[in-house]
Amino acid sequence: MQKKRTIADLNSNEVAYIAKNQNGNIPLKLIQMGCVSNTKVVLKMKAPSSDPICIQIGGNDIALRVEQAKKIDITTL
Amino acid sequence: MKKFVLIGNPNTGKTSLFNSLTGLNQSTGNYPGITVDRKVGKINTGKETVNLIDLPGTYSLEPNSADEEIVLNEILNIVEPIDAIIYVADPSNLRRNLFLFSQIRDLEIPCILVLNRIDNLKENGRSVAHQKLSDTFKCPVVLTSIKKGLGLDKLKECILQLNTNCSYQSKFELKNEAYKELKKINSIKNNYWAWLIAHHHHTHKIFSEIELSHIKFVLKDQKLDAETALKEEAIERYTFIDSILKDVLNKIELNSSTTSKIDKILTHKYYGYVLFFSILFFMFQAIYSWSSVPMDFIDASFSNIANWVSKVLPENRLNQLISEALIPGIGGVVIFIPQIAILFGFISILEQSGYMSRVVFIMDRFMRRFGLNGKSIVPLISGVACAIPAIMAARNIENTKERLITILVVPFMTCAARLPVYTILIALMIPTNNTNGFNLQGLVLLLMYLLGFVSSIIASIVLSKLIKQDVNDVFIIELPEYQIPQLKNLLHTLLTKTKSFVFDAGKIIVAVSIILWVLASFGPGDRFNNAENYVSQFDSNANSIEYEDALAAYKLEHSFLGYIGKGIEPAIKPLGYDWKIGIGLISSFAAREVFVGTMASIYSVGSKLENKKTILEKLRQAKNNNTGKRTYTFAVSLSLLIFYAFAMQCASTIAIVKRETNSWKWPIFQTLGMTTIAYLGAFLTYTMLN
Repeated sequence: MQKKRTIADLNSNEVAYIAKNQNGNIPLKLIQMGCVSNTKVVLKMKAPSSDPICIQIGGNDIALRVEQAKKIDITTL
Repeated sequence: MKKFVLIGNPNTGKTSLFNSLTGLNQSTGNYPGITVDRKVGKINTGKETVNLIDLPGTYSLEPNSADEEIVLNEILNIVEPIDAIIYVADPSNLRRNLFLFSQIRDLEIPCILVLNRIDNLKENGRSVAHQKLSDTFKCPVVLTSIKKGLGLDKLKECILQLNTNCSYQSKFELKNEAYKELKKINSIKNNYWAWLIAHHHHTHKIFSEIELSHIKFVLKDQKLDAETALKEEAIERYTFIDSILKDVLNKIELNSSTTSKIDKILTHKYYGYVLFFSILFFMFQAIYSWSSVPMDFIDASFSNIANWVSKVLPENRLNQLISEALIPGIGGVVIFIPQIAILFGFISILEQSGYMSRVVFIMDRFMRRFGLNGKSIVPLISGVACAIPAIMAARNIENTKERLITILVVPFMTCAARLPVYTILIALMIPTNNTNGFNLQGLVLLLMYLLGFVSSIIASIVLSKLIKQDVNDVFIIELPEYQIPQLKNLLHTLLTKTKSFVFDAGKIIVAVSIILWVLASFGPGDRFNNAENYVSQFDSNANSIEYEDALAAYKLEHSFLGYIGKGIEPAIKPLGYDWKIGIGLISSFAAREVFVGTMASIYSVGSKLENKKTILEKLRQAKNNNTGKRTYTFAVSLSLLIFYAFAMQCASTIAIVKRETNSWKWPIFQTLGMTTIAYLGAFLTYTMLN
């Protein structure tokens, strides 16, 4: 079985979708900003020393720490 | 008068819209800095005047941080209910913007939807079906572009004609009995209103203790899981928005290549930091070099005015009050304007352009090491202007521990109020020496700024070890698209913010100047009122000028102020200070910058005939009554410098910390801690040098 990937594992400019049933792992604020299961997510860039990272959701650049990104699974379907 | 509120996500051009609608017709109840509080303005539509309140930008009505609570409190204000909401959305980010809007709509309050920056959308070949939005949400939709001045008249017309009955019927359902019960008890008509109260009853102040405990009881009884409920609400809203979005926007996604290109440089491993520090360096250079001419001019003008007034008015107490207390007092405030305006100008440009968020992004990792947050960089930089807006700017830090530490360490940063004190003390320490274009005074000043920054970092490390608090480790920040700051908006911000700073600080400074003057001009007992009898006894040989001086000095020493100063002298003697400096220190606890004004009034009261001298000359000649030597030796000046670097001498900051932390514990801890460090530091400095 393929290893589960999270937002933290994304490569630069890679496109993915937030996996199903992730809403429990996503902080409320991120959900309110539109980051919910099945949403398309793109890794825009990483800060120097690779933390925090910047993802794009619905045309919207949002920075979050790797620690949080690790909790959110993705699918590349 | 009707009450309208302006609500929207951050970075939608909401404040620009507010400025355009109200012009200069606004009063800020807040301190300068970033919009962290409500601002009130008036819109004149020609027939009617409407009160408009600008609220901080937020992503959701459910607050995640302290600044977002302000929005909810305003919405749920039942004492002065809102007549209508003007909702500002950026159509380039419509999905997220509609989220908050759908919450707003569920409140069933009359509403206008403003789609701002419509020109940006068109440039990218996109269009928005605003009629569809208008039909879905049953409210007028107005397209505007503040940058190009489009749509403002239409918006005003819309405000005038807005129907006061809301035609929208909310479909918001209450799925838990707890909400329904709450709705019943508080006789609330609206479902979403009841929901908001259930989840956020603790953040607003409309409930009595009994009501609060009842609400808590109901919620506990029904076992409401708030986190899950809030997430479910958000997901449902996004499902709804995604279902209509296809019909509203012709192209949903947008990739702004310009922003990405700029980001490549500005957040680069090396260039990013080089650029950031270059900008900071340039900023400080500019603050000093651009402000010196206007500051000298203001200084000279006020001393001329004071001299002129003292000659023109008849010689009496009132004359003295005006020329010795009031005018120098006002001068002490006005002299701040150039530096503060330049500083606010820079911070405003960095904020408006979107660059500040990138600084937060690249600095987060570094700041985290010290128990801070990337977002702490904004308060720390603003702290160089003034700790008050800086502490308020910490509100957007969601992590409570990191926010608290930021609030506690911000006052270590060298604020603008320390600057006049530093300038004068450094000038006393080091006579001007401009050898080969190298300015030693400037170097010392730079070192003082570094000292401020380093001590705030050290304090953070210590505090992060000391403070034990549950950490909700959330760091989420939007990196908005870059915008070119608008000159009109910039000048507007500069004007209103400088004005509010000057009036807020000014009131304290002028009041303190007058109190000091009164205390210095009156005294108890015979030694003050009949000083002639005492002075002439041992000074009969002196000439008239020396006699006048001696007489005045004797009177000051036996005035109320003199006794207060003498009272604290034992405590400050180990630091090398005499009672005159003691008075300066006491008055500085109202606000640091008062020190210079205090010294000016103490020495000019003491030496009437030398009115024309600048304060620096007066201080250079000042003699310590105890030793008979010069008061401001190198050791004393440096010891004072250290004291001012660390001491928490600002009543307004203490008040703000109390308000922001919601307890007296932290401001008291902070004041005692900082003042102890200041005392020990000054003591060590003086002892080692002497």
